[in-house]
Amino acid sequence: MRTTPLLAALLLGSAAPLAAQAARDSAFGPVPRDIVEGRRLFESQCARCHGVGGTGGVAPALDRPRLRRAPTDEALVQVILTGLPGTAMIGFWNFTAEEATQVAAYVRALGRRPPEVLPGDPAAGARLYAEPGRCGACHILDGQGAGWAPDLSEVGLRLNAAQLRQSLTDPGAAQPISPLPSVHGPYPAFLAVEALTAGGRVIHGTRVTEDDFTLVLREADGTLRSLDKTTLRRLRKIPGQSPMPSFAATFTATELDDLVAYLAGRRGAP
Amino acid sequence: MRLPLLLALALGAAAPLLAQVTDARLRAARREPANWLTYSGDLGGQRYSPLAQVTTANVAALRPAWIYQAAMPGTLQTSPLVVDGVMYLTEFQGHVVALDARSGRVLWRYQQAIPPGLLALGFAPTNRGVAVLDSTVFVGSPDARLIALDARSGAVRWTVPVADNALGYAITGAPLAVDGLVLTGVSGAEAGIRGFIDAYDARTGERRWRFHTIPGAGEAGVETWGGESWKTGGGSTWVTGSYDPALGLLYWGVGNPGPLWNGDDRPGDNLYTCALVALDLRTGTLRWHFQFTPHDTHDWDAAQVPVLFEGTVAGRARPLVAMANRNGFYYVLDRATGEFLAGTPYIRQEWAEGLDAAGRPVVRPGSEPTDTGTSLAPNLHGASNWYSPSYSPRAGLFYVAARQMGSRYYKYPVSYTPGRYFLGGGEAEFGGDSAQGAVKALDPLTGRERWSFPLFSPPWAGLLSTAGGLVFGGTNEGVFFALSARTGRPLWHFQTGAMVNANPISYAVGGRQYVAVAAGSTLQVFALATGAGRAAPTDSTRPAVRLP
Repeated sequence: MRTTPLLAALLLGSAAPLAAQAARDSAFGPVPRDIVEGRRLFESQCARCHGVGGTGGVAPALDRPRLRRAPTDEALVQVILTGLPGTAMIGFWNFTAEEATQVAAYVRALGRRPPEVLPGDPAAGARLYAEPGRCGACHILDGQGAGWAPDLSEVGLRLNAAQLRQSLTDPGAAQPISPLPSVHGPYPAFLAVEALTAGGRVIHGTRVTEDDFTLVLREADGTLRSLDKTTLRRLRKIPGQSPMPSFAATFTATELDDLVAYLAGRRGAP
Repeated sequence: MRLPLLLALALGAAAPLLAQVTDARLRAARREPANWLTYSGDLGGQRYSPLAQVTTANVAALRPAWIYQAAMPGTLQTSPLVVDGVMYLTEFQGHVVALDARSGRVLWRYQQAIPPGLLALGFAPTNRGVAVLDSTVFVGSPDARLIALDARSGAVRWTVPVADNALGYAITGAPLAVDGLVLTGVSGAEAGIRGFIDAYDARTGERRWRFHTIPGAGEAGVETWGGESWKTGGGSTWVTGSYDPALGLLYWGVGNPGPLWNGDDRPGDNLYTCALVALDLRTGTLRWHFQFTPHDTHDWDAAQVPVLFEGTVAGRARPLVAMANRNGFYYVLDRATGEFLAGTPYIRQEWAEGLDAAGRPVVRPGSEPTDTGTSLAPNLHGASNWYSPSYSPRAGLFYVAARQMGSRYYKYPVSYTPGRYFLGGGEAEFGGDSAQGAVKALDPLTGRERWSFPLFSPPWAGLLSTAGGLVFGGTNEGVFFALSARTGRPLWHFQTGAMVNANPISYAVGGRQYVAVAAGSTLQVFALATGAGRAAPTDSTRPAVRLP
């Protein structure tokens, strides 16, 4: 890992005691006080929703180099202080301006990534991606393609190379997470379910949303089904499965490298 | 047999609008099934409606009657009061609205003057309701004032500062008005306040007494705090307490200690945090206390509604108080003496081996938060929370919306700065499909489970039981539902369109029973579709008005 000791400590040792960590870090250089203080505030106020270390939870992951709703440091402080109307992100009016700046500094530190050296050829990856009947049959990227799989226009901001590779080779283990269907997320965004109806019919699909009485699932052909749970004879949830097939045996190692290199560069409009 | 109820309904409807709500009426709130006169519907905290027009047989025909859209953005946690056809509810930040309870039309609105720089450390400036006495409506404010409003106009009669918001004090709970007094708790333990319960003269706003939930120098109990740690000991009094007029005792739950997660600097049991206190209403002196969670480091406050009921224990009729505590155990105490009678876990908890003969938890080693994190259930929000349980004297069951989820608890160093967070740690909860909930019916004397209705996610809404044999509750996913009080079978549900984060109530106007609950920033009110079974009483519709 070509990362600085500070970032390594912040990113990996998220549970280490602050004092001990600061002492350890000081062997490599001073830890900016803002980041240490910001982390303390983050873990008591923000981590419950955004995850310890900002890895995501009910609320979006923040360990990203670019945050859609907070492109600048000023905007990030503003979001922390005043919230985002129409979302669960409340304004932390109880933070002082200094505290908000400290939290923002910590969040930015989480998103700093060492540049990755990717062996693949992005142009070759782009050609593979665009082959008819491939990725674009389910994913949208820069407005092209169709389907209900995740939009990949900014996937290079969300996932690092190892995660992209896992998504391609073992998609069940690389499930994206979703705040739906409830406030106590995170939930797997594509949970496989099997329902046995009162009439004895078995329906397989991917959960779209659920509450105590309703399950909406999507069948493999894209058909939405809204089921009344109280009428079902059985409902089975199958974690760790994905509607996306594994491409481990479809592509050669070189082709996988190429696809990863291409997807890692998908970072949306600059 | 239906006559007494109809008579009561008719009288309620015929009474002059905004008649005086005397203390006698509050003490006998059950005799007025059409009204909902106190936070929990009665002074005993039962949240039970004697109305029986909506029953297990006809609840399927329950339909929206009207919806009120709050003027303030923010999720409503209010539990409305209904007095002779007028509903009083609070919005976010403690604004008060009076509505025509039949139609939902606004009668008047009171806007709080919220100062800039309001401190709300650890919670949103929510408000959970008003109290009413004579012709006055009482409400707390997020900056810790208590306000008395004229019930007819919403005009301010008096305002008193209860505590200093700059130190983190706030009021979110509904006051309790009884016997010429207005009682209010405070919150702010997350900022290291020293909590209390206050009693004010309902007419003048003059303070009659203050009970500190954290004993001071020279007082009994201060020895349960290391050094000077009592000064920032927390002990919020978030949630409206209950009152027994016969014993003259007030029952109030006390919140968590400060600092929240790190107990190193407050060695000892930290009385009276995470305890139930019984106070003499006239003087505010402590009659007894029972501490559920000594030396808490998981935020398991006792900010749940204490439920008063009568029962026979070991062949002897006794006055009882029960609490489905945040720490995962259901407790039954003798409410005259505080004697521990029973305690049973009502969720899968992972921090205690059980309770000893005195009701004190036998804590598992290694359950404290640490630098590297300690995983256990329940999570900081507990097995229950501020939202209300319900007790049906008719079914003889205690109902609680139980939360089943775990969490990883962390501890950090902490020091006190006035008006700042005083936490000393954090938690990362285990959410997703592993986190669930249930509406549970418990044997009120033992806590043994009678039935359980599973919920998709850990709930944030209270329960209401009715003489129609129903239990009403709500979910995070926006469903408001009715279960059979006897079996837990679901009988009706409605998608409200937003998270249900409040306690339901029931009332009647003009002979028609309504069930009301807040969802998102709306109040939704339901009644039977006109003509649907209203004239077809069955045995189960027989009113079960039981007087306290």
